[in-house]
Amino acid sequence: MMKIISKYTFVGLSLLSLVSCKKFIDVNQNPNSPTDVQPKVLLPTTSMGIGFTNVNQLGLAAGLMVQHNAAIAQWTAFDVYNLDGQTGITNAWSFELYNGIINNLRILIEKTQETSPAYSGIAKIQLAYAFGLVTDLWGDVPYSEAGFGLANTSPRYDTQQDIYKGNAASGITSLFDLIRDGIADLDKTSTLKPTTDDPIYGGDLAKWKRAGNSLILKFAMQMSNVESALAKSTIETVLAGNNFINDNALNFSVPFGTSAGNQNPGYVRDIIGSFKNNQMLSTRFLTLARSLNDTVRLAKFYTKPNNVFTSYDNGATVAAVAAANRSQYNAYVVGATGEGPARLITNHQVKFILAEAAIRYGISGDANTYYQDGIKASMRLAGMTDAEINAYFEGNPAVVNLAGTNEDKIKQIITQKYISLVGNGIEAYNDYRRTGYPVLAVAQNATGDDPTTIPKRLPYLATEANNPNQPNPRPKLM
Amino acid sequence: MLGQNINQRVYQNPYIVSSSLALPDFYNVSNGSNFNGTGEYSSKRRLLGHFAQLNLGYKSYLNTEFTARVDQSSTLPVNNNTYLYYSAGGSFVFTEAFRELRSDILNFGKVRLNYAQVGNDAPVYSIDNSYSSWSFGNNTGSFSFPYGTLTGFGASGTLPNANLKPEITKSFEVGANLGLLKDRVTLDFTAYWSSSINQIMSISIPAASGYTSQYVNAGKINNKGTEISLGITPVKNSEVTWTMNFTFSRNRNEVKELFGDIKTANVSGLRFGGVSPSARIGYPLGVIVGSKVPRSPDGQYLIDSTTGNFAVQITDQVVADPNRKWIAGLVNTVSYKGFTLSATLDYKYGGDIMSWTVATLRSNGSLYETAIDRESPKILPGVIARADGSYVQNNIAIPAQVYWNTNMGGIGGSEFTVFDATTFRIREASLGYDFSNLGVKNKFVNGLKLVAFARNLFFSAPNSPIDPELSTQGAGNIRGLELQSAPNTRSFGASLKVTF
Repeated sequence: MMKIISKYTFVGLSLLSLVSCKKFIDVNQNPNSPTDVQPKVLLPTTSMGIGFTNVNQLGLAAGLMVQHNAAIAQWTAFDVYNLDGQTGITNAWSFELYNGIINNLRILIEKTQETSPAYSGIAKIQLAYAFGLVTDLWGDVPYSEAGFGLANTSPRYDTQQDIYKGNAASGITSLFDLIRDGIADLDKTSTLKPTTDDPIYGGDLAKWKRAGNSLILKFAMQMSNVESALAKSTIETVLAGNNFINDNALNFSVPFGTSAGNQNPGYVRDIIGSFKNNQMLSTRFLTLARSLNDTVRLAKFYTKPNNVFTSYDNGATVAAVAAANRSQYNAYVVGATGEGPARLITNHQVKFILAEAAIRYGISGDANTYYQDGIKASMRLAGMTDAEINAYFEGNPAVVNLAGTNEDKIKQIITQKYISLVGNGIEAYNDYRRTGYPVLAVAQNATGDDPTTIPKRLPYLATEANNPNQPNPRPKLM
Repeated sequence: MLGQNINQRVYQNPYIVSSSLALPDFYNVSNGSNFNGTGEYSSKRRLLGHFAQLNLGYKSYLNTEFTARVDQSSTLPVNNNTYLYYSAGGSFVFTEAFRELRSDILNFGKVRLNYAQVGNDAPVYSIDNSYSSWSFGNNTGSFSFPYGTLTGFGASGTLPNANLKPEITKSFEVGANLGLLKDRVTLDFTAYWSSSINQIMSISIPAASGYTSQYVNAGKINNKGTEISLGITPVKNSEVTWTMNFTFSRNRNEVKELFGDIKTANVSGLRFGGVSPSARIGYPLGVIVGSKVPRSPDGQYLIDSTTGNFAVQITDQVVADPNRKWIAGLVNTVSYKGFTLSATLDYKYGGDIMSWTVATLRSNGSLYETAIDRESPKILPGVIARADGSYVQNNIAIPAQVYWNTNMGGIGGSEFTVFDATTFRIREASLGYDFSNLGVKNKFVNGLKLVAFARNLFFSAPNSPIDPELSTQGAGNIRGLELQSAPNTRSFGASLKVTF
């Protein structure tokens, strides 16, 4: 009898639990991570992200290839153009740009487009910066379909031309229109507005418009070899609007902090981290700066241990001087304790673009004035005193005045721009590939697809080969 | 028999990390002066199972067992959270059925067959979106939130999948158990075939989608193998017992299908240096994909005719397979009076280890091989392709630094840091004494045993410069990739066991 009762009880219990099990197993709500977040916690991620990726490994690789710096051991592969499969490059694509910056910007735009366009406006300007960086470095890249997650897990590779100019038939918005949309968003009524959650401009939308317009100037000049008419008209429109970065205080810069975990990644990499002392001032850059008597500014960019600049030649295999005596990035670039900002678009950069546009396209304004203003803006930002700047200008008239043919003048402009871009190797690398200036000899012991030339692009990732849209075979780097 | 099973797994890990302790040897959070992080991870999953089991036996020699089980899991989508297990198996003790087969040589014999399907649920919280506090970078330079008072979140790099289905593994096995020479020799043999489908895995997707991996039901992975266990008791009398237990196993694994058109997917876990432990169709799970130096038609390395370095490497090549060809083990135990002496030996044949320690030490010039003729130029082994299509032996000397640093070591030399992982090891030896017979037994104490033991006493890996069994990845899925791990420790100890 007992046996039977217990059997029935058992079956009864089973049935009971079948009824209530729906509730019982409904415990899959993640207590660790929210399933949705507000715009004010996404904007800091994307803002710090664009600064981070500019100075982290991409900035390192570009700074070595343009020979601001020379690698000593760990980073030799970048210095001698052995770029394929380098983790620094693949990580930047996968874990900084597309997953980190671009996907979260897509989410931020989607979330705020209708109700809080102050956020979507900033996000579009940041998105244009990020995609500009990707296409300038890699060429044809996933753009119009990229960063949308499940909606498209095999995004198309858009041509660089379509990314810059747009292609309505393929549904591709140009980088210029993306920025213009963003600037238009900034003028709309917005429920939520960024304040301290905007580490770049503290929620000052007027400054974001200037950043957006300055980015348009940069993208326009980037096309000078292939789309000169469009470059000219685009630059003239921005110049007429007179709403771009024209003061060092307006620079589009991402500020880093002094606490561990918040510092400029270049400071961690080169000065204090476990991979420190693996790059230093390039002998070629030192030679250039000395030839232009520009060593006061150089000492702001690079340390001068015991009052002596030391350097290392790109691709050399000899022993470098002792770590304590190496000229490495100084406080201007990485900060005294890591607070050096990532300077994405600066006043001096804009001035040099205008100087070049005045020579190439005859835009309004005097090329020599733009040029001198660019040099002064860089020197002032680097921390030189007015007296030091004046002394340099008085002592070096041949350097600070444009002379010769237009090509000579462009060479002068880009050389000064190149010097002013220490810390932002990516822009120097863009200009080098566009203009061929400054004239650089390949590194010693160069390897890569063509050891006789500095690579023209970064390699596509093998880990992206699972996207059937990736060009196959992957193009060579020369 | 009918039954019900309720399983709840709760995991909670709150942590506070602090450094710069004010007082030495006082391990308490209040003693920290520099707090590097606090956090918490917790999870809860529930499983509700209903099962039935039926055993049918005929006489004492034919046995069958049938089982069925229905599980419902909290980690799967509500409309797909129920899955079925079942099995059918039978065994036949032929020495019982045909007693005339029994002899002094064969005293027991059984054959068995089993077919089973088992299901499995998903990792917890894999079906919903999630955002987490963001960080960029790695050990070369990183940035993480919070940044002062600023918090930054981002969407998880792994896309959730709201349409996951349960995993299913089907397996078939046959086996035999034999008892020989009055059980002085026992033999246990099993052969198995299994196929896993709808495996829930996080596969890599193009990062250009904005995400780097996605949970999917994917793939088909087949396993087949054999296991043999042989027990021998060469000596057994009132004073001395000597037993030897020999085991052998061999497994072959092949990834048959992945997801969609994907031919290779990364196995999730820590990696760097351009090598990726992968699931690749046609290869065993876990092969390491990296770059290889191109070869001439007769298999020699191609050398760049201008630099004397290896020619530009070909990416996306299988460079190492961490799976062992076979594994054998031997446990020897000798007991004499109260003493027990035991030794465990094992031999793992085949498989590869890729050693980052060698890559680094070699590129730094810290290995013995780099010290030979340290200052003289070196010539890489290989051939140079000539314009007419023929090949000529490489004769370009390069500095030793370039030889070791750029070509043979570091990231560029990954192919040359792969070694055969064949290992012989004396895993453990122990000597124990049982005091039970020495009058220690009383009302309270039932037994008393003292054992001295030594672990990892000796190993020999003839083709590898380091111990191939270093584990860098803990319990992760990645194998065969050694990332500058600490050496395995050798330990000595003693244990005292008292039973009451």
